[in-house]
Amino acid sequence: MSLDTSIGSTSATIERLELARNDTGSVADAISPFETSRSVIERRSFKYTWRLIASDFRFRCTYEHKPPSTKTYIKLLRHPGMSSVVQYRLQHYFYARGWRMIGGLLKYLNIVLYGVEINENARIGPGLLIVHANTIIIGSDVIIGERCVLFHQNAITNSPFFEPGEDWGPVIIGDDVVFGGGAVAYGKIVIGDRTTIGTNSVVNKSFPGGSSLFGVPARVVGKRSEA
Amino acid sequence: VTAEKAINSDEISNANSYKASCSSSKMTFLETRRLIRADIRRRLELQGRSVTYLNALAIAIMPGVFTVLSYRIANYLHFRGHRLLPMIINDIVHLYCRNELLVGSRIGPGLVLGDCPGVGIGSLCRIGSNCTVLGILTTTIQSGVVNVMDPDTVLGNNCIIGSGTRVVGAISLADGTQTKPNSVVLRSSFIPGAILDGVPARQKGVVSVTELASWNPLRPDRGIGSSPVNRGAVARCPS
Repeated sequence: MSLDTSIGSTSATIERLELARNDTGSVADAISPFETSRSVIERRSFKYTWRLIASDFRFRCTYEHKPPSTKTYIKLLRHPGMSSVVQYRLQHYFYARGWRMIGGLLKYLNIVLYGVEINENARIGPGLLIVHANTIIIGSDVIIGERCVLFHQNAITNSPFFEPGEDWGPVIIGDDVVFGGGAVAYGKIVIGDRTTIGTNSVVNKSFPGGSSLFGVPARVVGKRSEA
Repeated sequence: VTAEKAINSDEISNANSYKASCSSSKMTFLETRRLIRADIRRRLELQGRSVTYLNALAIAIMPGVFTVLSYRIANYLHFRGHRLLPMIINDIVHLYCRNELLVGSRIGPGLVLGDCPGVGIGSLCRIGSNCTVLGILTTTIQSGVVNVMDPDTVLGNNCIIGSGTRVVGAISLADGTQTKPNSVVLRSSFIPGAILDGVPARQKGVVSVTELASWNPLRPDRGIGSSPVNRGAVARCPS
């Protein structure tokens, strides 16, 4: 079962987005084609949400070298990182259903219980992994691909230095991106597939995939090794 | 590299007078009690308050102290063979203080945490006595997705880890190392009293002996063993 229909294939998304940016410079136009009617309907179904949650559990099991069984899932649910991810999925489900109030309440609960603040309209692909639930902020209009790993104290938001008249845009993160502890990505940027971002580094520019970034501001320090 | 690291870690643990009780086989209740008393005593001394049971009770609710106490108890239970209780204690600590001190690590007496959240200490790291961690000390490895091995991070005695500092990977730091806020320590440092700063961290100087003895990480304006006048002032102000 392919689940990547939620945000389209992310690499293709990035290519098209970059093309659109070069042509028109308007990101809002570029992003609208991906809100296909199909993806909207899918995100409103509970079955789809359920499948996303299952993919999160499966990815966590792979990460922790545990057998993907129901027993393990129940054990994992105790983990703050796992339960906050599940809560985010429900948040997004209620948001997509139009029950914004419940989505907001769940977000508030997520902040109080786990210190994880994920905006309900962030679109995150299957297999989100929060290793330590600790001060994780994912702002509104963030698009994240599959199998994203957040260690702790990560912030993925629009630019905090946004000025009126500036070209606004979402943050787009590709597949298989690993955020180290304290890594921050902000602004109208695109981070390609298979990027590793080192601890305490600040990413404020777009980067192609397959590289590892480190430093303040982040620079490419090497190729990511084949997993 | 691994052999060198092993040698160095041995040196540090030899220098550590706490070595004997660091081994998991000797984790007794009396040892745990001694550790807790040392932690609270050091914390009270740094705050300039007198070491009494009443003061100990008063500061036990502070997030930093609460974390350390819970960690000691959880670690004791862990080495006694309990599985569930340490997990529950860790969850409570995570809910209340947002700190993750994983059981299985070995930390010497006199650990003081700052009261801001986000201290994470991996399950295989070893820390000497009288260390201060202000804010974030991360000792989990950061690599590919499937690699979750906790490294063996070793800190000497009297280290001061600034807030936001991340100590990543299987490295060891010598006695009295200080790290500046938001630095990322990726390599071992064998010079006692080195000051590390930057991303990635480099040595920026060495702490002088007098400075090391007199600097109070919780209250930089007062030294350890302040005068009774100061002590009264500290006791009056809500910390």
